[in-house]
Amino acid sequence: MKVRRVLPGWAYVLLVLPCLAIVCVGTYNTVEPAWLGIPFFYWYQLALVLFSMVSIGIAYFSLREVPDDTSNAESKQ
Amino acid sequence: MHTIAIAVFLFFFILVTVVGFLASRWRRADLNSLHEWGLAGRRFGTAVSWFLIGGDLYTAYTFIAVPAAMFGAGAMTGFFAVPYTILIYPMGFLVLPKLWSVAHKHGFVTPADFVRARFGSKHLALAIALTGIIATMPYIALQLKGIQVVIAALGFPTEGLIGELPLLIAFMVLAAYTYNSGLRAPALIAIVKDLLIYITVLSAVIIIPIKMGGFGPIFAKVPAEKLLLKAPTADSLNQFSAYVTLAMGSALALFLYPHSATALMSASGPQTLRRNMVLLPAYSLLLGLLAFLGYMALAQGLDKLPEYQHYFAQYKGQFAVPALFLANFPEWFVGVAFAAIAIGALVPAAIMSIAAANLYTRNIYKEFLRPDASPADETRVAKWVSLVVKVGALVFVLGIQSDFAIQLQLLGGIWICQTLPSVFIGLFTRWLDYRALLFGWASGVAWGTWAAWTLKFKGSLYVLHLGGMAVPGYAALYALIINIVVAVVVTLLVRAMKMAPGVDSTQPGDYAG
Repeated sequence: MKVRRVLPGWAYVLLVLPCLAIVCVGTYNTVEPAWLGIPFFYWYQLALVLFSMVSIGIAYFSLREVPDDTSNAESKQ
Repeated sequence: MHTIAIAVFLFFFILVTVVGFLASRWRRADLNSLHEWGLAGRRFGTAVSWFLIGGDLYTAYTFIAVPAAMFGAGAMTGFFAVPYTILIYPMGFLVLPKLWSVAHKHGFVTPADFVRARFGSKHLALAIALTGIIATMPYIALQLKGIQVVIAALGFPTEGLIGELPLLIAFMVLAAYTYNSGLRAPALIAIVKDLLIYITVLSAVIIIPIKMGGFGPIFAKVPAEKLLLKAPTADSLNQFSAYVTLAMGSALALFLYPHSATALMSASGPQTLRRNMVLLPAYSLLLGLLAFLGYMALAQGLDKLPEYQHYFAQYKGQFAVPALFLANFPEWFVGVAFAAIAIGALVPAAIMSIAAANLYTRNIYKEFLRPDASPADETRVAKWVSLVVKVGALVFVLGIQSDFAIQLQLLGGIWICQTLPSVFIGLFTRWLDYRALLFGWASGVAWGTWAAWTLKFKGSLYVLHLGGMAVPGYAALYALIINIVVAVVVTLLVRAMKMAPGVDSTQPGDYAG
């Protein structure tokens, strides 16, 4: 039977979180704390890339398979 | 001339040429069908898709332009690429599986095919297709520009017919194997290209800082106004709003570009795409590290060195990366790095020309010129159009000022963003009316073009005045807001006047995957 995959409500938070963090420029537009001589502004954004991989990854594993009930025989929305 | 570097460069170039032609035998199928030639039968698994999409989105122009922007202007115009690529994957995770599923169900090859079926309007589809083709052309031209810079850096003359010969040859080879093998060629070549890119960038970000005593001394040489964004003041949001809107607008535009859609639709299923949304940010990490190369070139003062001065005069910041490799690495490694950049241009150039060809064939040729065209006719036309598109891009690069290509690419970004309501909002709802979408699209394109004109086509940051506050932002995003507002208002008008709605030939279940 055809299945479709649904994202549970809480997992949307995982997708929004990295976007929200990167949009708040004021929280990371500083030099200190530097890491390995790299200003905070730069390493923080790269760390957010890693974080986004993890959070999208969790969202991926949280997908639930449900029987596809939006059958094509039904009338259009 | 750099003989060893040229030899290594040629070795890789010949290697990918062979790979490009042999690609037609890979997962052998009838290449006379557009699904096979233009989408490789929609069978690419997670790994191949990762290389293909990565090779497609992170182009050679990116590899030259991002460090160039860091070198020239600093974090504002250079590093926004990182937040930009953070925003695209969560969005892609929600949107792209729907696009893939409905495209697979109905055999759509282009985003405009989807719009045609969803809203039942061939004219709206035409607007989407034309926007895609026009936005793609200067993008291809910029890829060739990337090849031109490394060819010059290898020591070839940069002027006259002899200077243009290597680019012409590279280009004919590219055109020939794209014609022959379709999307399979860039997919296989992308694997070679990405391995080379990862090796060169990682080596550079490890070895050069070691030579220079760590990242500290590199960043210490970067002027303060380049290092951080200009914070908001009482009367302006300054670079904060510019940085964020540039990232958001570029992110919204990315998957609307025809070449992204082509790479995405060639994946084997919605789960393949979702897995790629998890894994593709690895390229963003690479891009962020690559941006540092611009600062390394700055810290080493390479534009002041007599041997590079005339190159910087001609190519400006775009020469930062080639100069950095020439100054810090042995000849053979320079060859590897330059090959990575040149091949990095061939992959997206091939996909872009295929995407433009698909659009022309499906949404102009078959729709308006020859509705009875057979699948074999379609493929024949697409193959020829892929050649025409590339010749067009070449004429652009050789004949016209390259500044013009950059300006057009900038306009292309603004224009392609205006297809969002029809394509992405269309995936979620068909509430918007097709006439309203056309009006919205036209308003967005018109306002965006006007905004770029007021900026003399030199940038895309338009300053909006809200009360007493100046909000510099990406014109594409402002244009998109106008577009959506117009689309909503006109939809309400159309409904109020009880005009006949468009016919949706897709079903709700087609979007599930």
